[in-house]
Parts: sequence; C-alpha cells; structure tokens
Amino acid sequence: MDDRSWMYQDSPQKLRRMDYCNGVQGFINFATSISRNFTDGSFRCPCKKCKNKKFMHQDVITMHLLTKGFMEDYLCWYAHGELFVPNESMVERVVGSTSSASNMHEVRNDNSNPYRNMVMDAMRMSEGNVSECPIVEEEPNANETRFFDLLKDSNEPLWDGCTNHNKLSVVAQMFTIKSDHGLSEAGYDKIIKWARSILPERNRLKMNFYAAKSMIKPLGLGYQKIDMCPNFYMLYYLEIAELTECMTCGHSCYKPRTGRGKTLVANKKLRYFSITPRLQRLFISPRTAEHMTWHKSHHEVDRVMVHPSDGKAWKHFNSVHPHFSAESRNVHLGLCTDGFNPFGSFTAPYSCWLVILTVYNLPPRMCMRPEFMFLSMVIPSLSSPGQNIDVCLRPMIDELTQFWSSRALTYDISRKHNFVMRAALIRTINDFPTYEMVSSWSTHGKLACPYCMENNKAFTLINGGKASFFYYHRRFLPPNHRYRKNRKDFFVGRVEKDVAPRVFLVKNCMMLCQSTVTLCLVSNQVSRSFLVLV
Amino acid sequence: MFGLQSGKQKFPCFGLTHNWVKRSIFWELPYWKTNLLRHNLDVMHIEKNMFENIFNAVMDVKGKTKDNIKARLDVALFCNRKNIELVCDGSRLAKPRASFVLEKNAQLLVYKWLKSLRFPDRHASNISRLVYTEECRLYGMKSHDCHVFMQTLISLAFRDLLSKGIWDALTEISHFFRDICSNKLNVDHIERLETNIVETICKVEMIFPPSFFDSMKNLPVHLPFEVKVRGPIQYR
Repeated sequence: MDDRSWMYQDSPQKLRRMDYCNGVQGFINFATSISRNFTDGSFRCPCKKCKNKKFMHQDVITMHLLTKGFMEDYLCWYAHGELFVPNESMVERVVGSTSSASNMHEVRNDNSNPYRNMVMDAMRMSEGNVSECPIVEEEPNANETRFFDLLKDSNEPLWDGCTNHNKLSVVAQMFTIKSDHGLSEAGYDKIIKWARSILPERNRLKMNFYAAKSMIKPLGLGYQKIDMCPNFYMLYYLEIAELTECMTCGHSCYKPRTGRGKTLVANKKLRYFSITPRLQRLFISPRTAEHMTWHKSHHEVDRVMVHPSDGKAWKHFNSVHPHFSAESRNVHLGLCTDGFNPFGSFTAPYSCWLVILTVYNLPPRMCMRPEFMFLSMVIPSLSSPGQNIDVCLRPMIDELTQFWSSRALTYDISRKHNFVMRAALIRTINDFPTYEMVSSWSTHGKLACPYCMENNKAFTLINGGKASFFYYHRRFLPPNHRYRKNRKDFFVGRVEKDVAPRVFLVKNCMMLCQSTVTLCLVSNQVSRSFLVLV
Repeated sequence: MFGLQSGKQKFPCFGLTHNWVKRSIFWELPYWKTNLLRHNLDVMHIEKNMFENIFNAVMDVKGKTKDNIKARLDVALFCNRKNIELVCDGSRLAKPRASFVLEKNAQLLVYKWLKSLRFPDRHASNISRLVYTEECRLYGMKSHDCHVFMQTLISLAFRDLLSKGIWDALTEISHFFRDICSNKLNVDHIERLETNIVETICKVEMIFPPSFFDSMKNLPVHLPFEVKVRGPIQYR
C-alpha cells in the first residue's frame, strides 16, 4: 500500500493541499480501473457523509471528497477492490464494535465471489473451516454431489470470456427481480428467451423457470407435503400414510379423477417446514450465531423487564430444567397461529392458517424481525380447522418432542465447534378466538375467561342473550374499597364480598391435565380417534 | 387427542363447572407441565376490540354500538339508571341519549378533526383517509390504527365533549394500554397498574350498560399479571 497520509491532513484554513487533490484523482483512477466496483455506472462514495453507503457518479464523488473529505479509517480502500489488511488500530475497533461479525462478512463478500459464499453458507460450511467441520464428512453422498454441482455453477462464467456474471449469479438475480416485482412464470420464461437471443451463442443461461428453480433448489431448506383429510380428522402421516380414506369420516384422500390424468391429487395438503434445519442455520451464520446466547449474557437490571428472559416464567423453567439451561445456546421458542384470507376479505370465504415459531434467544432488536420468525406450517382450508387444529400440529409436536429428548448436532460458527442443540416451546400467543383452539379452554359462554376459569360470576343477559361480565370486576378490588359497598351504580342492590379468584399456576396444572384426560376418556369416540393417531 | 367429532357433543358439565373442549396436543410435550404460563393473550387484539366498542358506543355508530334497544331493556332489569331506560311516549318507546353518547354536532366535530389529522412519518397509517364525515363512520381501521387511536387519540378526541367522569375513565384505559405496551417495564409499575386497572374497569362499569361487558372487557384485568410472569408484550 502506498503512502496515504495525505488523506487525513488538512491545512488550517480548511483549504485542500495540492497533494490531497492529486490523491483524490489517484483514488478515482484506482476505483474506476476495477470494473467490479460499478453498479449502473456509479460506485460507492467514501466521503465523510456517504460513508460507502451511497452509489454516486465519479464526478460527484470527486466533488464530495474535495469538499467533505474521506470517511474515518478508510486508509485501506476495501470497498473499492483493495484487499482488506487491517492495521492494529482498526482491528481493535472492529473487535470492540458490536457488529464485528457483519463487518467481517461484508469484507469477505467484497473480496471474493459472493455467490460462492452463498453456496458455502447453505451447505454448512464457510471457507475457513472446511477441514474443521466434521458434519461434512457425515453428510450423505447425494447431498455432496449437488453441493459440488452448485459450487461449479458459481465458478462457471455465463459464456466463455464473460467476467462479471456466472451461471448461478444470473439465476439468483433473476429470482430477486421476479419476487420483487411479482413477475409471473410465463413472464420470466419470455424474458429469458429474449435474453438468450441477445447473449452470444453457447451461453449457459438456464432455459426456463423450471430449470432455474431445480438448479437453485438445494440452497433452500425445503418442506414436507402431507396429505390431510379435508375435514381435519387425520393426517396421512407416518404409518398410516398409505391409507386412501379417512378413518373417521370415510372421505377419500384424493380428488376424483377427471379426464385421462393418471396422477392422484390429494384433496388437501398440509405444508410442514421442519424447524430443526432452520435453527441450525442460525448457528451457521456468523451474523446470528453470537446473538443466540444474548438471553443469558445480557446485563439484567433488578425489577426491570426488557425481554421475556427477565420474566418469572422463563426463570422458573430454567430452574426446573437445569440441564437445559446449562447450555445457553439451547433455543426457547414461542408459537403463534392465526388464520387469514389470502384472496382479500371481501371475496370468496377462505381461511388459510399459518403456524409461526419465534426464537426468543435473540436480543430485542432482532427477536421480532420477520427473518427470525419461522413459518412452520401452512394449513389451507375454506374454514377454520377449529378444535381439530391439533391434528395438523402433530408433525410439529413430534419434532419438538424429539428435539427435547434426542437433540440435534449443530455446528456453531462463533465458537467453531459442534454442540448438541435442544429446543423447548415456552409459550403460545393467540388472539382470543384462537386461544380456545390451542389451549382447549373454550372462550365462549359464561366461563370464557381462561384466568378466572370456573370461579366465574358472569351471567346471561335476559334481553341481550349473551354472557355479560358486568359487576364482575369489583372482587378484584382491595377488601375495603368503597366500590364494593356501592348498591346503586353497579348491579342494583348488590354488594361484593368475594375475593379475586386464584390463578392456576404450576402446582395445579398437573391436576388440570389429569382431569382433562379423564374427561376426554369419557367420550368413546374421542378415545377411538385417540388410539388411532397417537 | 383430536377433539370431539362433531360440534354438538360436549363433555359432561361443559359450561357449568368447566369449559374444556379437548385435551390439547401440547400436553404431549414432556416439559409442557413445567411451563408457568402456557398460553398468552394477544394484547393487540384486546386493544382493538376495546377501542372499537368504546368508539362505536360513544359515537353511536348505527348497527355497531353495544348500546342498543336490548341493552337498554337490560339496564332496566339490572341497574338503577333511570335516565337511560327506555321511555314510553304514548304508543312509542323512545331511547333517551345516554351521557356517554356524543351529540350529533359533537360527533361531526370529532370526525372533522380526524379528517384533518396528520401524523409523523411511519407513526400510523393515514387515518384521515378512513374517515367518512357524511356517513359518520370510520371504514377499514386496521389493528395498528386502533392501537394508535387507543393510545394517543382517544383522550384528545373526546376532551371537553364528554363529561369529566367519563372522559377520565376512558383516558385511564388509554394510559393503561400505553403503559403496558412499553418495551421497558418496571415490576413496581406493573403492580401499580394491576390495582389501578381494576378501579378503572369498575368506573367503566358505572358508565356503560351491562351488554358492553363481553368476555374481552374482562381481560385487561389479567394483563399485568401476564406481563409480570412472561415479560414485555412487544414480544407477542
């Protein structure tokens, strides 16, 4: 690296010295000589204000640099094609800052093929630790070949002599455009057809959407399609996957055949996105792996709550399961579910149900970001599954149970070793109608409140016909409150002497569970379906 | 366990001593019984419901308000509020205007004010777009609009239009939701909220008719407890 002391030397009157002007010209020449820098004819502006975040034309950048000067610590022009060689002061700064991992990541991206990194990330490796990662050796062969195919694609130029595009990058960028602008599959195919006519002969652009999609498929985590009874009575899953009729309602699994088509089409399909590989991926990326222990490492102020981990329930759970809490990388999950109509609320009635898992290990700024909420199930239906949502949740509960007992071997990139990960579902979050489906305590009628449960004083209105919780809240007041003796403004002629109902917590839940089991076994039909599916 | 086969079948004593409808599949998780609080309420949903019912009652939105004829009939049975009972006027029954309902002029004033509202960028959607002054209605309020209205606008909108006692009660509810939704919570403060909200709801009980109090109106009483056990509610 040549001498760059000119970059941060100012004359007292804020006038630029001659060597500074020459230096800026040198920088511009250097930056324009590297074609990789350019995006739409402009490149990153390293001035004090833009800080390499904005793309400008070279004349504008010269102007900026002459008036504002360079951003701090930009002795190495890493965003303009120079190899990143941190000097000592910079190393300290990078380590000290919280986002060190993301910095390193960007640097790595700048200096090598980003699409190669994409493939590497997806295949549980990054270039540094190929030899250290024992998972790679255990992976099945088919996976390996697909991985090396992709790796080859990321190095193969689009046509012989092409320097800035490779086979993978074109497909990846086209997919981005397609999803950003809602391009149809036919539109995609037409654009590709047209682009192929522009490109030189013997180019390697994938013919159509289908070919491009099958090429990029190994990068994704995939999902499972499970046939389902259209009335939500059973899943065609595991040992009963071969059945063709529902065991409860006798409804056929498949649609009646029309025409000469030979394939059988299921009436309803559940899409299940397995949670284990998604959680494992959080530990593979250096951007997220270090944050997965935030819940334990953050500084806790007494009696102040900023995160679910400060709550009583989290601490209780950790104290009951010391073997689980000992490993701070174990994952705490939350589940929420709700239905929506993807076709707008005023068209045909349709209610598509989603189940989403949230990772509560992450710090507050990341915890509720959409990228860390994992869609784990899509249940298509015309109406809500109601109480039978349990049928659909079966694969997820199975996986979570397994996750608790048998664990999953995971590679943690922040500490560079393997560990066994476990995950626990700590709570569900629902709106009030869904509360009934998930918790199994009905939220209708006079006993609707899931906290007061049977110690309830709601009554039915004679004219309105609905349950009313009027004059209900006085018993939560302190014993000698003046409202308790008020006979005039509340229910006429009544004083309140009751105390607030006890809330069922951990002691009673075993009892509640037992009582529900006995309740359930009272009904014969229920026990039949119970025997079939458990 | 997969629920009851048809909606008609119920467990014995359903609705009398219990409200169980099935054994939830979550009990199959080996650690589920050690969870202190297993199911959480969606506060946004409660807030939306609360706001809609209050706003519709105060603005007397036709077809939406809980303060209808049947409610007034129930008032005569359960409460001692002579001023809002139905009045027999010859052969017709008249529904006198309740103290918590705004007059037509005042309603127009509120809608015009809403129509002229501007928010800072990204604070809320453009609520003035949803106001139909001629019809005296709000159309297409999303949950987040209701959230903003409940927390910041409700006390401003009805100030000086409603009587002091009613405005106080509504403002206290608004402040309760604002406090409980903050992302940093002090346990002492939550305990204070827990006692205050009961009194606030009691105040609301003295204002609105019994039909206003469906099961959703009872839930704010339990929210501070839930927050104490489960942490801030922005994580829901």
